This record gives sequence, C-alpha cells and structure tokens, in this order.
Amino acid sequence: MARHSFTFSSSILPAGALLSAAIILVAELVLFPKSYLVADKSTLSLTRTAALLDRGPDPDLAIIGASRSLAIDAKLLQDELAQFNSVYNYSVPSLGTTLQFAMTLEKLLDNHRRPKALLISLSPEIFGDPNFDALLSLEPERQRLRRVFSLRELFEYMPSEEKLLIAPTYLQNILNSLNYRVLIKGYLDYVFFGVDPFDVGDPISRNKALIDHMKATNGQMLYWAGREVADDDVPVYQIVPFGCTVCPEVDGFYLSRHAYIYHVLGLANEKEIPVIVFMMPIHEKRFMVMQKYGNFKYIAAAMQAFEREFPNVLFLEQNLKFDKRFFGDLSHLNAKGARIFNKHFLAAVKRLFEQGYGYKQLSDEGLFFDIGSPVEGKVYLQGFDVKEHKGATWRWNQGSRSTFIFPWLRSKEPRRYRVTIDVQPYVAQQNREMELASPVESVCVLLTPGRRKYSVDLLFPAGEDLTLSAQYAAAVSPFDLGRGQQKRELAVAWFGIGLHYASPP
Amino acid sequence: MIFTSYQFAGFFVIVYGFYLLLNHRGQNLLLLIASYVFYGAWDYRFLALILLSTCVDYFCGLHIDSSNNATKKRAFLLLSIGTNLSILGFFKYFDFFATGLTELFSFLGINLSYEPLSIVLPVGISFYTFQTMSYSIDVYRGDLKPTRRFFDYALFVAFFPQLVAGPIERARHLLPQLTTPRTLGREQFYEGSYLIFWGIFQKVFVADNLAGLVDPVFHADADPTGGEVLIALYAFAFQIYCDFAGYSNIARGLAKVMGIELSVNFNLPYFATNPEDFWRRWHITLSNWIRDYVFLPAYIGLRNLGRSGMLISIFVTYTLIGLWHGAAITFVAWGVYHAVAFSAYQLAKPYTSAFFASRGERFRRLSWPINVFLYFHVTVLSLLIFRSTSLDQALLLSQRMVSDFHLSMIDVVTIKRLLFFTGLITVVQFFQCRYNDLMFILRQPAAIRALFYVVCFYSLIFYGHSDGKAFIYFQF
Repeated sequence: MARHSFTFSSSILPAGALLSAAIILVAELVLFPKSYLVADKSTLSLTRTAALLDRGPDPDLAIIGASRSLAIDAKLLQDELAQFNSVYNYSVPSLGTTLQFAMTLEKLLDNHRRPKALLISLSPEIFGDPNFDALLSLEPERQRLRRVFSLRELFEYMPSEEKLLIAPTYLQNILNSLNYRVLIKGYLDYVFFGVDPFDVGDPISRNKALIDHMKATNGQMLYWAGREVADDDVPVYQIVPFGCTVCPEVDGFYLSRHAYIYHVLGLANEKEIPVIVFMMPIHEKRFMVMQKYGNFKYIAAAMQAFEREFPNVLFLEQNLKFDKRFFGDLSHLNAKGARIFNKHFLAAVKRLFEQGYGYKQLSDEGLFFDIGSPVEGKVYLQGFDVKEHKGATWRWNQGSRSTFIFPWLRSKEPRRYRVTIDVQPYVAQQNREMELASPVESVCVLLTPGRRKYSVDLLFPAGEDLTLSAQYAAAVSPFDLGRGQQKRELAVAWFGIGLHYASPP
Repeated sequence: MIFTSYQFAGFFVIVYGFYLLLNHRGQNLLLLIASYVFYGAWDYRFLALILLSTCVDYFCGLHIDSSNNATKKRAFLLLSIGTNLSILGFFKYFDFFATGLTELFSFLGINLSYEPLSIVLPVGISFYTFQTMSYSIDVYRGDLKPTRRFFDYALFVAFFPQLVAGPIERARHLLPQLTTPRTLGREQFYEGSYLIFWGIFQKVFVADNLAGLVDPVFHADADPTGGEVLIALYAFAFQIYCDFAGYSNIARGLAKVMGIELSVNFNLPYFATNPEDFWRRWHITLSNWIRDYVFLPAYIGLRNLGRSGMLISIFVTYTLIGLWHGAAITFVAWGVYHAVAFSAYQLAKPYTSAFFASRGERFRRLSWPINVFLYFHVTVLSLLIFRSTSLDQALLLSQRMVSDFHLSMIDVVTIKRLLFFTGLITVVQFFQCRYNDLMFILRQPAAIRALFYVVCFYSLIFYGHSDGKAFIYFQF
C-alpha cells in the first residue's frame, strides 16, 4: 500500500477551489448557454437547429442542407403546401460537409415522428473534392458537432471510422464556455480592445433580430441580406471532378465517393421517406467554372446513380445559374435572391407534390410486406396503440378495427390496387367475414380456418397516403372482453400484406 | 508531450493514479519508466544519451568515492565531465564552432569548406548534463555520498517534471528525496496544485498570447518602427519569463503533489534592483550551478590578480551562461552584456553602498521603485540581443528605437493587449514581492482565491491556445 500519510492542515483549506468550482458550474449552466447571443450567424443557426432537433415540433416536411439552404423560407412552404402542416429548415452550416446531413437525419428520426418527405440540398463542392468531408481536425468543425449533437448522439451517429475522434472532440468542448470560446473571445476582443474580429459590430442586438427572423420563417437565415457580392469577387476554388470529363457509367464509382450522401439517402429509403434532392443556385462566375470543368456532367451522373439505387429519391432539376445581383457573397443568396429562389423553388416543389410525386411507384411485381413472425402465433397490440413496421403504420384504434397506413405510397390519380392479405383467423374454426376498406370503398372477405392469402381489388383516392382498414368480424375491444389490461389478441394473425396495381398505370 | 497538452494531462493522471497506489520502491520504478516514456515521446533515440550519461556518472560517482588515489579520483571525474561535455558539445555546439573556425580561417586567407551537419538538438540536453555533472563534482569534492541504487540515480537524472527544462537540481537536494520514502501532506498537495495551475496560466495565457505581439516584430522580413520594437521588447520580457517560470512552476507543482520538492527557479526577477540581485532571482538553479562550479573556482583561482581576476571570472561566467542558452553569437553577446552590467555594478558597488548608507533606510525605500524600474529596463534591453536572430538585427532594431520612435505611431490596441495579458501577473507579483511570499494567493481569504481562480480559469479558456505551444527553453 502507499506510504503516504495525508495530514490535515487548517492553514489552507480548499474552500477557494470549491467556491470557484461552484461559480464556474453556475456560469456554465446559466451564463454560457446564452453565448449564442454573441455568436456569428452560422453558430446562431446551428444552435437553433440543435434546439429544433431536440425540442422542436414534428415536421411533416424537413429541409436538410448546409449554409446555402438556410435561405429557404420554410414557413412559406408550410403556408403554400397543403399536404404539409409543418415545414422546418434543419440546415446546418457545415462547410457543405454531408457527414452532418447524415447525423442530422438520424437525430431527426430519433426525436420526432417520421416526416412525410425530405428536401435535401447538396452543395456542388462535394462532387468535386474527395476530401471534402475530412474537416474534423479543425476546431470550429469539432465545435459545430458539439453544438448540435450530444455525446451519446455523436457515438451513435458517427460513422465507425470517425468514432475514435469523438471523445477528444467532445472533451475539448465539453463546457459551454469551451464550446463557444472562439466567439466569446471575439466578443471580449470587441469589448476590451475595440477589435471586431468577426466584423459584426454589436452581436447581441443583431442576433436577437436574427432569432426573431428565424422563428418567423421556420429557419431562414441570410448571411448577407442587404449586400450584393462585389464585382471583383472571384471564385477562390476550382472543382475538379476526379479528373474525368466524360464520366463513367458505373454506379459504384459515384456512390463510393459519397458515403455520407449514400447513408442519408439509404436511411431515408429504409424508412420509406420520399426525398427530393436539389441544389441551391450558383453564382454565375462559379457556375462557369463548374461548367468548364464538367462538374455538371458529373453531378448529373451521380444523381442518376443515386436515383437508380434509391427509388425514393428524385433529383429536382432547376436553373442553377443565378445572376450575381442575387448573392451576398459567392455562395449565399442575399434577400433579393432568396425571395426569387423561394418563389421558384416553391412552385417546383408544389408541382411535384401535386402530381403525387415523392412516393414509391409500384413495380410490376408489386410489393409484399412481411409483417413478421407473430409471437406464439399471435400478433399483440398494446391497447389502442400505433405501431410502425417497415414504413407502414398500423393502428388498433377503433375497437375491432385495424388501420394500416402506407405514407410512402401515394397515387397521382385515383388508382385501383389489388390488396392481398396473408392471415390466419384465431377465433373459431368456422368461416368468418372480414371487411377490408379504403377511404372510398369496402369489400368483404370470407375467412376460412388456417393460414391463407386473400386478394381483393380496392379503389384508393389520389394524393393521399394509402390507407387500408380491416374490420374483424369476430373481434371485440379489450374492455368488452372484460380484461383488466388493454391488451388482446387480434381476431387474425397477420403475416403480410401485398399491394399491386389492379390495372397497368 | 508538452505540459500544457491534453496528452500530458492524460499521461500524468494515469501515472499519478498508479503512483498513489504503490509503495516507495514501486513509485520510483514507476517514475523512472514514466520519465523514459515522457522523454521517448519526443524522440526515443535520444534515450540512449540519457542512459549513457546516467551509467557513466553512476559508475564514476562510485569509483570516485571508493578510490583513495587522488589521481584516480580525478580521472573518473574527468571521465564524467568529459562524457557529458562531449555529448553536449557534439549535439549543441559542433556546428557553431566548426562554422566559426571555418570563418576564422577564411578571414586569415585559408579557405576551408565545411557543410554544417545540422545535428538535431536533443531536448533538455543542457539541463540533464549539468545535473549529472554536478553529481560527479559533488562526490569528488566530498560534499555528497554517491548512491548505490542505480534506479534511484537514473530517476534523479531523468525525473520527468524537470527533465527537459529544469530546474537543474543538485543531487544533494533531490537524491535524498528519491532514496527515502516520501510523505504527502494535504498542504503540499494544494500548493502543488496551485503551482501547476499558476504555471499553466503563465505559459498559456501570458506567454503564448504575448508571442503574437513579439514574433512579427522579430521576423526576418519585418520592418517595425521604434515604438513597435519597444512594445515587442516589453512583451518579450514577460513572454520569456512566463514561459520559463511557468514551466518551472508546473514542474515544481507536479513534483510537489508527488511529495517531492524541487528548487525554486524564479523569484520575481523583474523586481531586482541590480545585477547581483537579478541573478539571485532569474533561473536560480543555473545561476547557482555556474556560481558554484565555474565562477567561484575561477575567482579563487585568479584571486591573485585582484580586480582583474574578478572581472575575468565574471566575463568567463556570463559568456558561458550565454553560450549555455544556445550555439549562437547573439547568446554570447547577451552573456557579455550581462557581464558588463555585472562588472560595472561590482566596480561601483563600494560607492553606491556608501551613498545609500549615508542616506538612511527611508531613502533606500523610496529609491527602490526607481532601482527596480531602471534595472528592469537594463534587462529588457538585454533581451533585444537575446531575441534577435542575429547581431545585425539586434543593431538594426536598436537603431529603430532611437531614430524612429514616435509615441503617436504606437498602436493603441497593441498596448491594450500588452496590458491585458500582463496585468494580472504584474499585480500578483507585486503582492508576492510586497509580502515576500510566492504563495501569497494561497494565504488570501477563500472569496479572493475563488475570484482569482475563476478569472484565471476563464482567461485560459478564452485566450488559451488549444494547439499547445512548445516552451521556449526546450531549445536550450
């Protein structure tokens, strides 16, 4: 054992250290969480996005992107797109890195009801620089991560090859004061020395106004609202698409170089969320540089590859070349540019959704949902609950009725589907009728003992999530059964549901 | 692995955790391994040099002590000193002297070609070689009994808190603390923690930030005004002091929380009133080393020459101090500058002493701030030579201060920054000096201490450099 003897000395007590620790603790919990008020615009919007992801309302339509897509007025979309009651802009200024897109989507799906659709804005730079995402060695970048994601989230969402960076990233920014140190230092420089490193003047009043604006627009933030980019500003970089001017027609070539985009789109596909991928307008000078280097060919090829890989993805083609008058700097739209872009963007998105886009069209083979292996031969629902299975939502909410909703499947026009159910009735060894219904018509099916498949044709309305109801003939609600708990077996064991077009589109 | 880096924090936490669990012998073995790991983190190849120096001095010490033959004793002493000076000479001074000789021959009309070897300087070499030499000399003089425990001696040479930048410990001070079991009092723990904290503040907040005011002025392509040079000099005075004193404080603090007392290396040097006083306060362990092993033997050896002997001893001593800092003519010139100041002071001392004695205590007290102010500027001017990359630059910048000096040209923001980064340390040092207590802060009421800690903590948070700049004295 150690040979130390710890002797008590009353001359020096750790009271000073303890008191200072208490002061620091209070400052960290009360004062420094407000540091976003002295932050730059990017940090301000990061903080707001983090709060939206943590505690904000559930979005029907979510916008994910980098700093440029902060120009999107989500409130305008919310007001104009009837299908979506809530539209929020979750763009994270991240120098265009797509790692944070993936992490943002993961967090969004963890903390919120699944959105009906996603709008994902990609920066053209990510199609030119293979090292574009390798920015984690930079302190501001680490702080960006820390501001939006907790330690658990960082560990959970980070790709495995980046996980080793998490602990140092987090520890170096664990205190709120550390997380905002660059900005607070900038503010102190402004106060003490009259030096304004970020060229913002008094950041507190400016930021309060920006926060109000972001609240009013569900997340719009303009870097240079009233400025026009200077004539002598020139693109400071050139994007070279891996040295290819004629891009090869090999999917893997593109997909392997965009792991994080692949992850985002794959995750959305897995969750059956329709995605519209788009790009924000590009300054005319930058556009010309990109054109010269053949970037658009590359981007188009990459997008086609993604569309082939993920049926839920659609690339929205727009006019990307914007006049320099509409930019506050080489990348970001000013207020005038944002107004014009939002108008055109709204029209394009509205047209797509009104046409019924965004939802997986059934292939010739149709789709069959394997509902799974019923526990001990029976599927249980807890009370009047809602469950999700492979993107379908099923509810046991009307006593003896089950409702299945397929939010990713929506027709441009009223369509007749062939619905196949794979079920086994429990209740009695005798034939029973079960009613299958769409919102506009219903059909009765005679169930016979044993597991069997039954097919019926049903008409479903246009522009709505495909919703199928099943009224069990022999079922009663749990309370009617006289049980003390709201748990009961269904009248049938569900094994699967198949959907096909009843006639060719 | 720099003291102010996250890596070192992790390293020390692990080492300290095990240290508290082990008994005395286990602690020593742990510290030795940790010291080699610490040093090896810079360049493991140079561990061989430390091991060589350790082995040679350990065995020389034993033979010097056990031998009854004076010639033999001297031979082993020379072997020890020769080995250490050879290591030091080759790695630190070979290029300097070889280039100098080539230039000298060239001046005499004999052209020799010499390509500098660009030898990598092992970090801390000047510190541990001086430390091990003092051991052999002390054993030779009979001031110290050599240790028979090799690992304890190896730890004395390589003890990681002071391995790369001192304090240069004497064996008679440090070795007994290593060979006998240690106790750690709570008070010692607090003091150690405070020294670490204050040292980090000196280094990270003061020194590293002042570098931003100093480096641009001394850059080879810089074209500063006289005012900018002056401000940079003031800044450098605080930078070099806080960099080195900060390191020493961290080293002392680290040792202290392990129950080991290292020597004080700085004692408010900018409150010195004369050269003698200054060298009792600045890099004390080096000053004492040079005094005991160079100046006094030289002075005693030359005492027959009277005042000339004293002056020769002073010039040799300070030239060596300058050269110890680096193989560059600027360091030699810096040493000569201090030799001139010290000599002038020694020559004038009988008259100034009589002058002050005749005017009484009150006059002495009143003149104290003036003396401090004047000698501070003597020191600051010496740093112009120390910091310059060449004598030409030192001369040019000196000229600028005289010929191109206008108060209106001094940037107000720069002055504000200088005051901001030096304000707290100046106030603290004033009170340390006033109460003659380096632990002055620890004697204050809890509320004042808490306020002090909070201010220092957030100064470090907001103005600390996350990249962990290297300590200036590592290069020496």
